[in-house]
Amino acid sequence: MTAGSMDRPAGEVPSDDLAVQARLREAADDLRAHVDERWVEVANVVLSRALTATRPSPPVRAQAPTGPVEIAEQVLVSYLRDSIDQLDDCEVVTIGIDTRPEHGIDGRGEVCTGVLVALAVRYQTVLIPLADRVREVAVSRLAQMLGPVEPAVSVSVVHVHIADVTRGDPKLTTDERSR
Amino acid sequence: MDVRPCVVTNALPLPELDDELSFDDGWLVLGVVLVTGGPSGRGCAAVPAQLSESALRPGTWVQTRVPAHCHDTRTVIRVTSWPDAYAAERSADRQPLDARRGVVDVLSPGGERVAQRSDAVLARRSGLGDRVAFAELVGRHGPALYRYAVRMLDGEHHAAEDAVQEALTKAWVHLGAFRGESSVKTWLFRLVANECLSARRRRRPRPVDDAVLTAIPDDARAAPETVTVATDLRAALDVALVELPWRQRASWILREVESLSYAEIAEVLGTSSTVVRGQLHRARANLAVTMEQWR
Repeated sequence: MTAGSMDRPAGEVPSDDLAVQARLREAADDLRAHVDERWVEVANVVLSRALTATRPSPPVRAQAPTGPVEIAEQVLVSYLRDSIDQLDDCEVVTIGIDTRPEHGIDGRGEVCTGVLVALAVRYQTVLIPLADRVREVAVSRLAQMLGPVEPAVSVSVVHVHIADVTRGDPKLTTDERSR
Repeated sequence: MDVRPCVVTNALPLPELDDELSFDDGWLVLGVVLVTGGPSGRGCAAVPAQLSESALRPGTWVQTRVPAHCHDTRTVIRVTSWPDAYAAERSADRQPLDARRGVVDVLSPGGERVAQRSDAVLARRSGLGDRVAFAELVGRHGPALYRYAVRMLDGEHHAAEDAVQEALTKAWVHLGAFRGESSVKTWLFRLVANECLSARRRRRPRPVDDAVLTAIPDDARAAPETVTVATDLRAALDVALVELPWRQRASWILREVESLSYAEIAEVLGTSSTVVRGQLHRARANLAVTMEQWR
């Protein structure tokens, strides 16, 4: 508010104030459209550095031909998501890895016993065959990553949970009701 | 191809495109343009150098096509400005590579346009380890996050870069636990706001020799008719924002520039909507006084 505005009748908006507010809106619009040059320069570096950060994730024991290997749970999740993502009309919402501790000759480790896959699916998708396809893909992928672990992660422990139904492609948008 | 960079915003998908360089109904059609930041994001483009700057002036909407190895990447971009300093720093043969990498980053291996996905889907996929989805999120919100950080840290670009870097690193690490209780944009702004606050708290006054002190340039308060209005209005705003207290400044930027609601601003700043409303009112009044001569 300018000093001169004190003399004006109550309720009357001074034209000077309106002009300043208009200029402020103009400046805000200009700033909104502005991209700092420095950001253009560093964006890729900032992104690359952020992606190098490791998510805390417990190790899961795998069995390679030459001996036991430990794979981070996050890696299992990423690979499973990537595989299931190839299927149409569904989108992975969450993937949970069940493990149990096991003592082996090389010490104590966590062994994968099951996987819970939560999906969002397109409306009117036939669910049971889709669940079977997801289960097959998950088991196949787990076998590639974990090897012949005992007991094997069987189909019966890979649950498919239909967590969401979307009107559009679930790979592109979430249903408003689920937000 | 000989290319040079330009800053673009508001890129949009385009169904049809001519191959040849030509003008068409006021739209400038380019043969090949490399765009970083994604079809819906903002970023930098490399355009054929034979195009004159007058033909491709800031504000021009441009129809573009990126190389064939990038699937379905026809876009419309808006040239915002020519970053002369940026162009001078980067060699001509390096820029196309940077730009090309940006294009590839926003495309899934199947060629599906990642940019069509909503923020919620991108956040969900990022939480499951999808780096391409996270790159799209950064391309979508990175410029606004950086813009906010720079102005909250009094124009210190290195400090702002560190704050955004740290915030995005935390976002990548913790996206798996993101449950969507707030919007992704609000959540990212909260991370950046916290980093900016930490950076401000870490600051210590440093002794400076009087001989190296220079007066604050008063260009921003100069009579508008004596300066280039569009650029200096923004510069004046930046100076005026520095004079605002922290919460007033944050509230004003988040409301007027980033268009967040009162509730979202309250969530970003860790306060209530009522406090935000009051801060915003005082910020507008203070800015009106500071910017008075721009009426």
